[in-house]
Amino acid sequence: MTQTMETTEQPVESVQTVAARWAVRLDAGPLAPEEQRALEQWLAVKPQHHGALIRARSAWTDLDRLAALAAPSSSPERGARGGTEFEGRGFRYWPVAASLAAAAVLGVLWFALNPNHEVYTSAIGEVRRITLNDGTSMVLNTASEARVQFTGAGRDVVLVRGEALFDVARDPAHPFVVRAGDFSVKALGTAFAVRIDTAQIDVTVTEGVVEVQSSSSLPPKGRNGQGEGGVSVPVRLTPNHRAILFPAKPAEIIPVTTPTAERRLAWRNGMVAFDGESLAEAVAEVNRHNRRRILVRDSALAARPVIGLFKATDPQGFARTAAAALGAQVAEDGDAIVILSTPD
Amino acid sequence: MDTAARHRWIAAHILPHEAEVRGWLRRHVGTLSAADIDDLIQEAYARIWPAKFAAITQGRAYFFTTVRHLVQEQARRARIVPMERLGEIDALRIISEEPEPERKVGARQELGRLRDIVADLPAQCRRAFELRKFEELSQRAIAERMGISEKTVENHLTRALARVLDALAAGPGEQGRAREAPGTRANDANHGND
Repeated sequence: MTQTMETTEQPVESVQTVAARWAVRLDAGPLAPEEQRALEQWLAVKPQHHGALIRARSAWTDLDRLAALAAPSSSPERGARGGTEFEGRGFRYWPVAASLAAAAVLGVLWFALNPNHEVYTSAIGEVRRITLNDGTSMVLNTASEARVQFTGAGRDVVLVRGEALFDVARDPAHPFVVRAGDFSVKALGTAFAVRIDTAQIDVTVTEGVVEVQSSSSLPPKGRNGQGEGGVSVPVRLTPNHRAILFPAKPAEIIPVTTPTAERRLAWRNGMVAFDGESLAEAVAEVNRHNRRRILVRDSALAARPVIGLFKATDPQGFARTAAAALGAQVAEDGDAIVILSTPD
Repeated sequence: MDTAARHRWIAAHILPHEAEVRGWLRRHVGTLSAADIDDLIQEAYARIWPAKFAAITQGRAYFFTTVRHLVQEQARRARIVPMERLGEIDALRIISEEPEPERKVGARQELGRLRDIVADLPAQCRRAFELRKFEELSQRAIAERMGISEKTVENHLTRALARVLDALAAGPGEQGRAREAPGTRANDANHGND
């Protein structure tokens, strides 16, 4: 704020100096009514003024300790400022994120009819990288299961549960199709991720093209189309678009920014990222990665937004940080971590 | 906890970490100007004030977390959150989770710093300050003792406090530099009020 003063022609006091003046004035005794009004007006300008006054009054109060200082001072501490240098995290490739639902059962049924497949699973908290026979890279997020079947006709993967990211090896003769619930995602570009979550599929494309359609309109070998999907005609998704798909409803396609798409795939680096999701949603996401559950015992608190990038496998760290940010507190209940409102 | 006790708690648990928090903001959130950092720090105090202090085990971590959350809110208001900003936020989170550091400034050294700041005040300013804090005279009594107006006493004390606040913001190293060149800091001038 000294900079602010230097750039101003008028001798305007900095917020800090005004705050210091009020702190000293308040220390002198009760305010006259007009002073009280002036203070309230100043405080009402912005929250920074309130904070600056708290800071100044705290420092002023703290100076009482000087009276007790008998011995000469020791020299001030110097240096010793440590810290980790931030390393930017880069994303090498541009995938498609898809989030999916409930109808994993269909996938299981399909594979019951097609038993020649490989099954890959990941444990809770594990991110598992697998190279498939065609050179495609598949990364399984926490608690996921994928069944892979390559035939002369094509490459089929059923995501039974969880989430998987695919960096697909080019092979136009053998289409790469991921089924998740009611829908299938066909890779026409290079990479994409599919996630089974609640009752929706969520596909985000950042590079290349994918085709999304209801599984029922894309009859696999030996299985007749069934059910009325809203996405019976394939929907092509181009980069920086996201499709939200529910069974028997038209696809909702919305543009997204590249950072948003990247954020959705933070799990590849062992992280989870939130940008205003509710605490309830964030906790559900963190819980996917951990055996130790987090509970939120307050519906108002559960609706508060959470922002930030967190280590996926550190539920305590998440709970502590989120609680601190939301003015809540953390307690333990058996093996569970409970985030609850601070009684006040 | 009454207001004075809350101020003492802030002074003991939050103020000592301000310079470090500012340093982190400067180093890791490169998009912030000096004025932005002042705003963030001040708003953080306003956020921390209503907290239930008894539940806060680490003031330093709480301070970091509060500031980080404010940065995140700014990022959200900007709507587009570049990945590097998330990375910055992450870096702040990681540091905020460190245990209380060895570099924690000892209470005695902190007092020593304050004493040095007071020692560097202009003579009249210092005298007013010592009468208030050491001899616990009222501002009116100081005015009588020094033969100056109460308003001037207030100006002297304001200047003394502003110096202390500058030192808190700058941290030990910076404060050492400030003492090498007393009177050159813009903020101690108390423009228009002397």
